[in-house]
Amino acid sequence: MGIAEKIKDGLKTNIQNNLNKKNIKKILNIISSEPLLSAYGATFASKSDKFLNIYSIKSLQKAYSSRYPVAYGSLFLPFELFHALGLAPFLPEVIGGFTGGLGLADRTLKEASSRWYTPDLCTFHRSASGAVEMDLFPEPDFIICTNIACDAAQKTFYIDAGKFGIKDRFYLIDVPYKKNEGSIKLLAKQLENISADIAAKMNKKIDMEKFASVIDYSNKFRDWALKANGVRKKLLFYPKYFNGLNFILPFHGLAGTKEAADLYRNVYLELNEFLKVQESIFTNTGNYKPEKMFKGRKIPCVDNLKKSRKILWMHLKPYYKNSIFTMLEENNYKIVFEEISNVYWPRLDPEKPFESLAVKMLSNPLNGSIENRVNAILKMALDYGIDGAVLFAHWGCRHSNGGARILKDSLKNIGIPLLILDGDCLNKNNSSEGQISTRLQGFIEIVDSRIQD
Amino acid sequence: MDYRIDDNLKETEIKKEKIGWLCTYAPEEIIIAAGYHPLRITGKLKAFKSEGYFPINFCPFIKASMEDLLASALKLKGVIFTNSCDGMRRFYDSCRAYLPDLPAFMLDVPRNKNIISIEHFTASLKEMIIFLEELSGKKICSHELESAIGICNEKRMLLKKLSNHFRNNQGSIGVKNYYKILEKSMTDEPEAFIKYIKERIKELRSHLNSASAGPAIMVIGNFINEERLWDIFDEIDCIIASEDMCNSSRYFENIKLSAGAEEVLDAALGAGKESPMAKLLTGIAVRQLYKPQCMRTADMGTKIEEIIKSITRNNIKGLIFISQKFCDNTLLLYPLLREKLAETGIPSLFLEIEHNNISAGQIKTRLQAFLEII
Repeated sequence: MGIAEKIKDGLKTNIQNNLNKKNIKKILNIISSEPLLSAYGATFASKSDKFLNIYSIKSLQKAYSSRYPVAYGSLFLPFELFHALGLAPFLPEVIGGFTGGLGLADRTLKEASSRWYTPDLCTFHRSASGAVEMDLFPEPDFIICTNIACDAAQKTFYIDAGKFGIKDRFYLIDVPYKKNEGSIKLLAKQLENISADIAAKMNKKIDMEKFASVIDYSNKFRDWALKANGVRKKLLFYPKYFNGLNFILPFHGLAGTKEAADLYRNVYLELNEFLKVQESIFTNTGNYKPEKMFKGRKIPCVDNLKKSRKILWMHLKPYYKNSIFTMLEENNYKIVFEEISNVYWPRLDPEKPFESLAVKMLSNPLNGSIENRVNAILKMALDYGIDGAVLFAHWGCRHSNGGARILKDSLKNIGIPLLILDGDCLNKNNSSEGQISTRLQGFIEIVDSRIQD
Repeated sequence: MDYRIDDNLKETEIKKEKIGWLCTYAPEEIIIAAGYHPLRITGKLKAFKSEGYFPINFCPFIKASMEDLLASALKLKGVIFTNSCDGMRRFYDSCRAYLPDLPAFMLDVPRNKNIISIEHFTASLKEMIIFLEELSGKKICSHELESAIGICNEKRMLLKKLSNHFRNNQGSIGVKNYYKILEKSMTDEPEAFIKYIKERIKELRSHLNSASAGPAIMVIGNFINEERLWDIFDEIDCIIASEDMCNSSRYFENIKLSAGAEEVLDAALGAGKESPMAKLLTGIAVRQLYKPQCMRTADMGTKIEEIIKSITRNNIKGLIFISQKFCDNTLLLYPLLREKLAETGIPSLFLEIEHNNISAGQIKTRLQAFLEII
């Protein structure tokens, strides 16, 4: 076990043994102090992982610090709005995922069950609701959510608003089903009205200069993410522990911040270094010798790279310890792209922030008809030359799982098999490891046999 | 012998071509104005083939409705879906993907209630008109829509009267029978149904039975259309003094706009320079968005207020909350509602059921036990 893992395990045990908001705040304050955070950052083998962890800790510490107005936000919001308004975003669904990783989900889910949240519901929301009931989350000043991709978020967020006595500070951004001129206008108006209301409640005016600067950072992030994604079209040799499924925060909660832009700049630079090594292996030039180490990774040989199978991952992943990714790695299967890493929106216009953010929301392939998602997935499949795809069918996600059959048939039409892997991102008791392993093995055999044929 | 309403509900022959609809936010008046018969899809068939199109933990009502469509027994000319929930969106997608010959339209219904939402919903209604006009090949005139609104409002008014009779004289109608009549109102020719229900209401007025026994209860749910379930209610001693489901009051309430909704309508109409058609559509949008809310809407607090008011007004002793399994919108109202009910001291029973597949014995036992405690 590496130093980073040891530190993480120590923190996990501490939080598990002393589970309360005060302790979480204390731990965040300690680890986010500059010398400790730098020391912690230095323990990571990969730059991408290092900056992701550092910025995640900083963002969480800010939300828990009681020094900034806090706003809960659901995943598919344009968080540029939060940063432009000076709100510290807190994403209960994402932190719900953390409860799985921290081994707390059993407790938060139990609490939710005792409050009549039935087990049929999505565990991200149940776990987050349980955490609110247990008073583990920072107290919000505002709660903002949207209806993109999810019915449950709007409901649980409304319940949270009641718990904290801020129903007059609860906002649902109601995104129209279709993207057209009329819907952009209506959505932009909603975003503007909500921003004005929040600003008024903070006795402020909307600072349009700040808005423009946030939009600028959002565009920088977009540029770096596109470049990083471009590298990934060829990349088969990845940094140690790199998993694109971890990068939810820069795409969402940190959207519009310098941190997100810096983080993805580092992701791009690091992946590009690995691409150079990979290219030198293929062209047999440079100083890279197969089987030697590069930044903690054994450099593969040409044959190994050539035999790599490329996988597109859809939806999210289990956040507790599991064997899925080790199994893929052992079979030389690379996740070359994830649905969540897709940059689906056009450049934003700093002169028209509300309209731009409305376009961003309406461009989300998860909004509206499944055709939007299918088209996006088919494009990713072709762009990344994948051999197969995996849809992690998270328990209770009607939105994603309800379209699984259509996604499977659409990919089948272009000759790509899709594995619908039933499981639960948070609750390990709701995922059968044996069954997942058997199904994954079967899928690997199918993909292998198709390629050999 | 006590009077009992005629429960020999014969299906009327439908001569017009049929447009299926699934949610009470789909305005039947527009379908009628387009010259079609609006037929509610009720998920008659047990899910079998449709199981292959959706995951296991998915709305059983949607699965049954998909089965109805796959069987083609309804002989529909087209279907109006509404953007009501994640499940319904995927149902629409599956219909388009696997039943490409069945024209389908998605009506976008907002979750908020304000001027922007009215504008948004009115624009969606205009798109629905275009869909139906393309299907029929004929334009819908404002006077046709006005006349269709008149028919629908008359039906709604009569259903409201029936519901008042049911509340005060449950024994004369019967629980199962009442819900069968409500279903008939959503599937029969509107004119034929209006004639039928007028006669029944006339009879009911002249045959008042002795009051039914049992405590007054309120039933809340989504699409709960289970004959076996309503049979149980006929067998046990309680009076359904208030109800709030999408196959009951949410279908016919709000014929007359409340004062607040009137103000919104005035504001939405602005200077009043709109065409007669635009005015009618804005009126429909306001009526729909300001009727008793579905659990899907943003402001669950208003929904809870509606429920609490009804509890007080009808002297309710207990609340029965029935939800189809896997319905996130409904299931997530219950934690909040239960908390509010605890403040008022009203006990509640939570029943999660599966469309076309209920466990009658178990439900009866739970209902009896609940009635004992209230």
